[in-house]
Amino acid sequence: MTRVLALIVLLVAAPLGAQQPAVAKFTAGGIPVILKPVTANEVIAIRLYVRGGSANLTPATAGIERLIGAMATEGTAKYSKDDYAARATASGVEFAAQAEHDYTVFSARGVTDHWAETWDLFTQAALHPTFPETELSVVRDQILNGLRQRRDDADTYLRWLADSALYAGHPYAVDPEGDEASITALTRAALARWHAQRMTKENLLLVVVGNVTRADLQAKVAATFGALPARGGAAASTAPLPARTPSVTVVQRDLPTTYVIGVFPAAGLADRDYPALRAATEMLSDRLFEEVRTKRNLSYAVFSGLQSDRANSGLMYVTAVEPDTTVKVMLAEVQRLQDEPIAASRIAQGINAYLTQYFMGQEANMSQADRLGRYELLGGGWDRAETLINRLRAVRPEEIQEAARHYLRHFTFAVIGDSTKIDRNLFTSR
Amino acid sequence: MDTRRWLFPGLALALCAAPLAAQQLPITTRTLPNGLEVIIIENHAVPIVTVELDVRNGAFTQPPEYEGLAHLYEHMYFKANRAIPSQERYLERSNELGLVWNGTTSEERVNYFFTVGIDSVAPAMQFMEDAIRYPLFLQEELERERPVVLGEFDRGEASPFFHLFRDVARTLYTPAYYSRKNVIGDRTIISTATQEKMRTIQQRYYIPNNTALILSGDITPARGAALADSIFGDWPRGADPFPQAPPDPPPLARSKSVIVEKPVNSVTLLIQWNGPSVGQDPGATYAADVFSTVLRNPTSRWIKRLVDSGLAFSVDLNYYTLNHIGPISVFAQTTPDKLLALERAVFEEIRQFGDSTYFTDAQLDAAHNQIAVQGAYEREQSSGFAHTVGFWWSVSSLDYYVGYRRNMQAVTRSALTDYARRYLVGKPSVVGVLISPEARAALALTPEALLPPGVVP
Repeated sequence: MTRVLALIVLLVAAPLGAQQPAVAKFTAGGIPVILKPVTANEVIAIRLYVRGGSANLTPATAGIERLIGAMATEGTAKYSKDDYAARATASGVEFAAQAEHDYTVFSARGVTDHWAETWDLFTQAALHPTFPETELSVVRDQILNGLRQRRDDADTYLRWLADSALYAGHPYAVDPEGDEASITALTRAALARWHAQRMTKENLLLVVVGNVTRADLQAKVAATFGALPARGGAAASTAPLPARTPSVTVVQRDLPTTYVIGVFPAAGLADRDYPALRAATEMLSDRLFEEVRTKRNLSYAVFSGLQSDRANSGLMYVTAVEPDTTVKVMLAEVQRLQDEPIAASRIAQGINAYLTQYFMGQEANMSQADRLGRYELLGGGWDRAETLINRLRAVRPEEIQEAARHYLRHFTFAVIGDSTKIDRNLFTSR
Repeated sequence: MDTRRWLFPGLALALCAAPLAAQQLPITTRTLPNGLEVIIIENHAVPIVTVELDVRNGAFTQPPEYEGLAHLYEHMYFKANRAIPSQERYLERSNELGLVWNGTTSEERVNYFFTVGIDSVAPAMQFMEDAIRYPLFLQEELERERPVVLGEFDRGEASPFFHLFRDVARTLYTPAYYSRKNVIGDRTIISTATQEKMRTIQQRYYIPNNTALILSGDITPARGAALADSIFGDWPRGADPFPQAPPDPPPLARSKSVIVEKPVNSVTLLIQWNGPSVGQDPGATYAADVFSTVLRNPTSRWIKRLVDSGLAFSVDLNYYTLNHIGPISVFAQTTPDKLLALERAVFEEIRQFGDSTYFTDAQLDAAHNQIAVQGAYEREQSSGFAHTVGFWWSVSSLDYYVGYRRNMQAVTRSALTDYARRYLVGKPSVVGVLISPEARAALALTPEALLPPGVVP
């Protein structure tokens, strides 16, 4: 019965109840730190954000921070690759890195009984990687294999096609994941130079969620981050996405169903319109599920949603055997959202589900850290994550209509499947 | 009425550290007179509760004429019932309660789960009780849901990996048995499903003595038990759904191989063996999970030989715990020119698994610690933890899960060797390869070339 939500980053926030621990923001070792002490479980989540993302990249450096992240545990100043792996396994520490449009984030998950090892292994990987040449060759091949496979999976390829069209001429056109040419050409020296330039105090934000005291964290941060350069390699800014004319990219592929995505520039987390647009896309998603799947049985997978980039975008997605028929219904639902006011009672019901989703996001410390970091960097401050539900509750029906009219148009569509079933005029009609 | 209570000792087992109160996760169970097992997982971190129903149903109950109908039934759970006249009304009620809901079907488990705020737990449970006890299976809704399920089928078939896994499984389990492993099912069977077949599934499997009710989150055992009694207590017990145990797959007499051609940019190697059944050889299932954990250690000989050498981009050996033969799988990706060398190296390493020096004590100790910490990660999210507990209840029992990490901590090097000798070393397997037609032609690759060493085509 799975309700497919794979492409949506669910970011729902609500006011914290009285039982929620206080969040503190302070400076330690010269970098901003957000700490949320959580005693309900023994897990500790750490996220270190390096500001910049695509805006700091060029076609030649695309994917460099992704490659740095993948190499982070392959050898550090204190530990060989094998030493690091043995220590991480024995303490259960999990390190990860993710290069995104607006930043790269290094993260680690550990438990309170291994807090000291968790911090040591995290800071070694994030701050002191040595990029051994022999390991670089293996890791590079693994990343290249992943990049080549993007075309094998219809969903991944569909998203890549849509992003390529939506981001043309914008800094996000430089893919933080890189491409085959850039990943192939990046050298060990380039990684080391880039890491040294970008890992400066002015670019960093640290978020920790777990059973950690402020004094302990301050001391650890000062000892490990204090020696970093204060400035250098400053993060570039990103402009909003420009308005787009309607378009459709169709790729012929012999598949049992046709994959369709329509994307559009959207309000970001910090924008005044965000709550209304968020409510509009959530409402649209519910209506698509009801009209396309439940009433007309045209699809198993249909939904809409918002991303959470600084230059934000939204999407509608469906897989269907009859794509034209299905997209007509979807566009009619968009029209209905723009034309007909939604009952206040229905908005209130939607808020209930958002609240449940919000609390589900609060269950895991890493997802809490993700939300705090994302709002701090992109949403006007970490504390605004705590007030979104009130802003959603304040949204009026006419604001949802207005947001739908303003943003849900000029779709950039991508389609993979039977091209003979695609009426391009339909896809570019709005 | 049987009531039991466990405290998971968290990391203390492995680390000999004093367990913190926060490391203990209380699970309370009681069995109602009608046979419904009620499992309450108390976690007051956030004010939500996940209500989950797990039913011992799934592909393993499917003779060929029911191939895929456990899954179709799962979809019909979200349709009209005595209290809710249509799926449209179902969605409205879901919105009223602020539900986040879903259901899944697998080989040996079907589950339904609703997460709600603490004020909506009782109505959510009532909502689920109406759906599980009183489905209407309206003909119109059944006909309308078929294309939705086939749409899910279409999405699976759009993935090249779907074909690799299906072809390998059908070969491993034999076509005659495959319906009992084929969750997504058969298009014709799905397209012709009747109300009568839905009723048969309901009457045979959707009974309290074949179901677990899990309440996980901000709820006390006393409140959870009272709600379970009042809402599910009068659900009448049914006849034993398994008077005879469902059949196990036939043994694989000799190794086989399959090649799947799709337009892919990498080569995937999938090798499967018949592994242990949890009901018949539980000790081997614990050893199997520890075995996989040790192999995944980047310092293991397995990773050094196969990945660090550049033979494979990635490689994993995994055991999937089931009660009716869980498969052991090697999944690896490489380039066409390295495929045969990789396959040879995999089988050479597997031959060495029978040597007690293949693993070191340090690697085993590290795996034990890692397993303990993973338990903490698993318990962190009460909504996800409900699914985990429900899975283990379905394929085995809650007792199995309660003892799971303790029994894994007790696995020794000799147990690992015994497991490998019993299920892997020299045992028949199915070797599958997913490759592009062009790469296959360039290699002149035949199924015979993929057979393990020592197998005469």
